Amino acid sequence: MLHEMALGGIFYSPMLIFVLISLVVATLLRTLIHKSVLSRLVWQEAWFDVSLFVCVLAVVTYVLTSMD
Amino acid sequence: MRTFLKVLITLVMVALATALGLWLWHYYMYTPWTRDARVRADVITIAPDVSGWVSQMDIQDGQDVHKGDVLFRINDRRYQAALDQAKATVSQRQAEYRLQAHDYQRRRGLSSNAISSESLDTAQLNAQSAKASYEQAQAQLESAQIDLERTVIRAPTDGTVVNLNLREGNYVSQGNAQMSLIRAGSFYVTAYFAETKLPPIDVGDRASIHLMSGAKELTGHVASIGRGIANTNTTGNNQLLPQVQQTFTWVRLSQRIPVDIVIDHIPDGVYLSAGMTATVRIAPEDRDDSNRDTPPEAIQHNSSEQGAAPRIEGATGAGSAPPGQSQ
Repeated sequence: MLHEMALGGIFYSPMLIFVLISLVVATLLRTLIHKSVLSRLVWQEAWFDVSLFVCVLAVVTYVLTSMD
Repeated sequence: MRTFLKVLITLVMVALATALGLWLWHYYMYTPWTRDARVRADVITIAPDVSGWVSQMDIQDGQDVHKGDVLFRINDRRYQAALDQAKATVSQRQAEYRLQAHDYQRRRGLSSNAISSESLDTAQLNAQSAKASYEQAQAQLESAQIDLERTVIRAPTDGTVVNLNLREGNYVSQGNAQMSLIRAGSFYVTAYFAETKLPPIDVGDRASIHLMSGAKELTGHVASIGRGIANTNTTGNNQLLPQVQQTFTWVRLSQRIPVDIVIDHIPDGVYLSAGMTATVRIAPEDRDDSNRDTPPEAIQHNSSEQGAAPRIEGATGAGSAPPGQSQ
């Protein structure tokens, strides 16, 4: 399903949609992790956050493109 | 120990992100899909073969027509008159020919004492000349007949009339296109693929087409991959020397190569118009070999010679290349 999303006559790159979804998911995950005990297992917080976002983005892309 | 675990977990996370990021990059950048595709169709421009003013319009804009249907009629009085004139000329030339032939027949029967050989030759040649004139008139009659028939313009094929601005009373000139006809069922998609995404694409690959208008998926297969696009460096000056650009931009975009896709299935309710925007994705792993006109062994044979000896295009079909490593 790697194709453009049309909204109001304008094509959007699917990556834009995926990034927005991933941003929300990653933010939620990050908040959960930092609220829980898991935050003590993280060494460099920024590194971890960026990595988490990339992982979520890859998973979101894979799931959404292989849906149909 | 605690610190070690923390560092380890973070680094594992970073490594995982790198791997997934690389996969994502590869997937997004090299999956053969393009946002730049257009629906196209066979367009036939209708031009009258004779000049004149339009006496009757039999169609409306956007009307579906069948092959042979009358599109419009040109006033035929002048062509009718030309036909009558041609008929009259034929009769006249026929009479002349008969007269000359008769003359010759009569003179040929005379003895050589009664007529000079010069007069006999003249009579024979006059008869021949009259015969040629007669045949010429017959050809002109046929031409006038064709002109008259072509004052009625008929649809050359099944299709839909597009961009009809012609009205009754307009003067149309011979050979000037007056409207276009989209041939029925001739829709196809041309997808413009970046060079970088071209390698996995091959003739026969299944394609999934999404129109801008809706979520319904059209399916098709790759019919041909373009063999050439324009190159501005080859345009010549007035001495036909190539005008090669001295500068090139630091950031250069990859060229787009047109890939034609035959539409195999159009879902119900999808209305196609030539020029519509589409997104096309090719599935190289899902090749439909039934549509390929090249036997697989020919491709295998071909792949061993890739980049070496000049290839004979005829042997590989319309621009098909070995799977997985086309150029």
